[in-house]
Amino acid sequence: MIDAIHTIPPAVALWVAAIVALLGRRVGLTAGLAACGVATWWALTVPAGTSGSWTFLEFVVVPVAVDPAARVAGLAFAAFGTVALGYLAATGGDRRHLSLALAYAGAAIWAVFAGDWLGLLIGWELMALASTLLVWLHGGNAVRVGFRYALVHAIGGALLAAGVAMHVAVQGVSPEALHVGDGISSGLPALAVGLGVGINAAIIGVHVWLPDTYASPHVGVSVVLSAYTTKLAVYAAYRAFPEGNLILAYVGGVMAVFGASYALAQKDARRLLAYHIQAQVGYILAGIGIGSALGTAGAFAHLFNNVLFKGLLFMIAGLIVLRAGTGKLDTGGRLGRTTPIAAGAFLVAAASITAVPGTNGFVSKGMILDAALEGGHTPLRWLLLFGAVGTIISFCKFGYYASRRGDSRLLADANPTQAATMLPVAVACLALGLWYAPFFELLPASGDWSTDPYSQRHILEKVALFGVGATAFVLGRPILERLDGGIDVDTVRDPLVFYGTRGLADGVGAVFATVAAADRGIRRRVFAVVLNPVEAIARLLPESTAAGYRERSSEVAGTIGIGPNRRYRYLAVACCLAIALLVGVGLR
Amino acid sequence: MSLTVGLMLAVVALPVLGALAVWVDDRDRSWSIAAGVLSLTAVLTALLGALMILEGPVTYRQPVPGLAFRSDTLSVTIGMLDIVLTLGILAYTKTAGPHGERFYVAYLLFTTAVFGIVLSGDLVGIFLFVLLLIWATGRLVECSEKAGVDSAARGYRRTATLGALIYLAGVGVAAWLGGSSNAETLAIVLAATGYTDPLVVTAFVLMSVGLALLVALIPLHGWLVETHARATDPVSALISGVLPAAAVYAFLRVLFDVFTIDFLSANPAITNGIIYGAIVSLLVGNVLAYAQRDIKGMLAYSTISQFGLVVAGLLVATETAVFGSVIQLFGHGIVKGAFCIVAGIIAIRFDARTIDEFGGLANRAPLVAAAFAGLAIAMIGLPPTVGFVGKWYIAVGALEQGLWVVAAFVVISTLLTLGYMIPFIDRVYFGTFDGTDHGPDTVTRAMVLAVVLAAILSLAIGLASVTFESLLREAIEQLVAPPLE
Repeated sequence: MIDAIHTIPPAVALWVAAIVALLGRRVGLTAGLAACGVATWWALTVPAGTSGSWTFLEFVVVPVAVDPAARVAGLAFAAFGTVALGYLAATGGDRRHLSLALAYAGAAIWAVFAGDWLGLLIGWELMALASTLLVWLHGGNAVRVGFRYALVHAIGGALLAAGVAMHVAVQGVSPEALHVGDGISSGLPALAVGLGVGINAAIIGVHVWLPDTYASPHVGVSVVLSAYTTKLAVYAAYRAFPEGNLILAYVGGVMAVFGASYALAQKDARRLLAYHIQAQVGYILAGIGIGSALGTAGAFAHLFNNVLFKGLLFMIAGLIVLRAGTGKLDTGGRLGRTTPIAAGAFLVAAASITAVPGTNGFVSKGMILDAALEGGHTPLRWLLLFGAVGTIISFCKFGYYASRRGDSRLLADANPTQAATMLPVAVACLALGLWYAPFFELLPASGDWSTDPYSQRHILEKVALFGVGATAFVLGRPILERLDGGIDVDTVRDPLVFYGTRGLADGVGAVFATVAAADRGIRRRVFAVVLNPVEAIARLLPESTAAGYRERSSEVAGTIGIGPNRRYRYLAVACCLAIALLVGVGLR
Repeated sequence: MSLTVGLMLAVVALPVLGALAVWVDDRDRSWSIAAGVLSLTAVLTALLGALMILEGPVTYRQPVPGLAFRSDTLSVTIGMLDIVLTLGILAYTKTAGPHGERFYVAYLLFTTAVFGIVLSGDLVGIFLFVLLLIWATGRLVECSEKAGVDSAARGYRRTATLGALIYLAGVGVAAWLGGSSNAETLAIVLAATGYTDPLVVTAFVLMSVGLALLVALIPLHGWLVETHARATDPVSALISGVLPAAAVYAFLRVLFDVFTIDFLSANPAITNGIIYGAIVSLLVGNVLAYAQRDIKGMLAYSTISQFGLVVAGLLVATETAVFGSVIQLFGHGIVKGAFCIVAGIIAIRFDARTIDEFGGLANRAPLVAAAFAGLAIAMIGLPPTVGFVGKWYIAVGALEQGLWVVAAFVVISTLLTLGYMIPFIDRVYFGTFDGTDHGPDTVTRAMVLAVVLAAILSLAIGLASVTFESLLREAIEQLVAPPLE
């Protein structure tokens, strides 16, 4: 029985719940929580290996392929699904929100457990579709942002698909050509897949969709979105480059610095957090790019932890937006004595993301930094450390602004249901930081690496980082005060794309206009007769018969006129026969 | 006489008995009788299919000339298409009509005729069933209230009978050479005579041109456009979905069973001629579909272009391409049939026939609009629908043979189809409603259910295409294998 269930992809449970959710909010929430619960149990207990296969065209699609990497990512997605759904419902999401969120999370889980690129691509595109609809549900400005989001992900998906297709072309078509195996062939396929994945992972230059989108929709939707799209992209990066890729590692390192720096300049809570997603994804990409056993394990540990603490931070940001009516940290109300739950959760989450000893972020970031040290990638390690300082400064800033600045009114705390979704995450952040051993068992290649998170070096390093970070915050606060948003690549890119596209459109338009002008001349004489012979004939007929002819012709669909003529038909048959006989017999 | 032979005779005979019952019946139970008979036929067809899969093809010959039956998974596929469509259309005709004895007698005989063509193992037998099919179709076309329908039906009968007679002339030449009109016997004789013999070639040309007319390849397509426009929507569904498919099936049998693949390689001029003719049909059909404002006209020309593709796939004559053609034949039948029914539903509820009247229907009839969009996607051939799968296999098969022209036109036809389908979908979803709405009660649930099921079916067949391939593989391997010495 249980073996049989283990052959069914857990995404199916979420998709069923997504359909159930259309019936009503309460029943949808129940079904969704149950589905996420089942998926979590499934991810924990399913034995490693593949099961099931389904052939489409010439390719074998494997719906269930379990290895440690898939298990960790799937577990994070499924388990976080329960709290994200709960939070979405507790902040006023209706049945459409719940249904789409379930479809979206289901697609992510499907993609994680798919054993081949075609399966992954299906999940990838479904996610793009469901998340766009989720953003659109909020209406207003979110619709505009959603369009850009959809466009970006359509391009990303197309690049990924093109890369996979080229990979198959390089490998030669065979039923197993799409299986994940040893990663994507190097050269052009790797470049296309890397770019496609990079767009979803928000690498620098193509990342602007991230802060734009995640700051716009319903607060519960932000929480849901924060967990899946970028994390699945990182997961796909691992599938594409399982042996690591140094370019990827350095892209990740730069992202860590870039994301943290831009986060420093933000005053909108959700925008700030969105830039931190970029920074944390940078850490994970760095771990995957290093490619050693410790690097990969650290990357997946950080992926799991990041889903937790980033989700929690988005929950708190959402709470601020709900209570204060704005996400602006410098104008809304304050967290403080009246908000013990929110403030407590914030402290835990901020400690986790800044890697305070005792939290899960400390353990997994340490692993990635160690992997960089072990592999001798000193510049990468410095980039990551630099990013860590930036993270510390920006969360000093978040805490400071949320509790000391802006409107002096104190905000109301989380209500019990909201608290019920936030506290488990906070507890998990602390628990994984202290009792990490069982978690290490789940990580990829668990026998091939070892680490001691609480070694003296790690602790000292952290103390130094916090010293630098805190000093920098205190000294640099007047500068931070003046920054609001900063200038990102979109200020250059968007006008470039806009005017570029408009120029292109104008050019195409001019060509078309010329063609159309020529066409009008020809059409008036030739096309008019060919396309509407009835009218041409009717014009030639005397007034009295023309009306009757028009009426009769209007009852015949073939406006081509010659179609219904019987005599023409016999002529055509005769011609066909003559030509065919000539070709077949006569020319011999 | 084995069980299989009994089933073969039963599926041909049952609808005839049903037609008799409808004719005798005087208490207005035509629909119920037709529904009962067709359901039973469907069950028997499914049984026959199961037996084919388990036991392989069966041939049954009688000493009477002209009577021979043969069956394999391919013939059952086309039989299935016929029965699925006739059953599905019943859901529409129950309330929307046409009603009455005349219609249902012809309807049931139509089914018989298709089964006869599909199961007949004798070229003269095929001719007789084609005649029955032409008669029944003419009758069905006449069951319309549009002006000029009688002359359209008469014109159709004359043209199609001409095609059938040309085909018969070809059969006559072949039979004169071979002393028999049985497909198996003829194949042996023709191989012995030599495939480049002028008389053999003449026989092939006559049969092909006759059948091409019945498939409605350009420039022999006029009858299809005309009858399509004049007939009622359920009859159009049969005309588009089943009629050319039956003719293509007959062509397939003549081509591969009687003349065999060696004939094609012995006469490259003819092979290429048909391929390029089919491509012209594909291209011109698509372009003319652009010129249509009326949805039925668009559907008619789209049928013509689709059958150009199917015939081109057959002539590529590799296992892959022939499978592509067969699944395209089946998928197109379902999709186009359902499309005609959707057009009928929209006409009943909104009085909308042309693209200009289709604006904003999605808000008022979301399910019908969704089925419309789904069927359009299948028709365009986007993955993973059946339309994509058929085109994929045809293109891959063509590339295997180095016929990149065919593969290129598969892509071009997809783009062209996209071009004339998108305006309709655009109107349905993004146009503003400006017309009459007779209310949702004018359309029964069964009608909507039938088209939604067809849309789902088109997706399911696409996803399960590999299963289909494994079922049809044996039959197609035999088909394209060179004849035994």
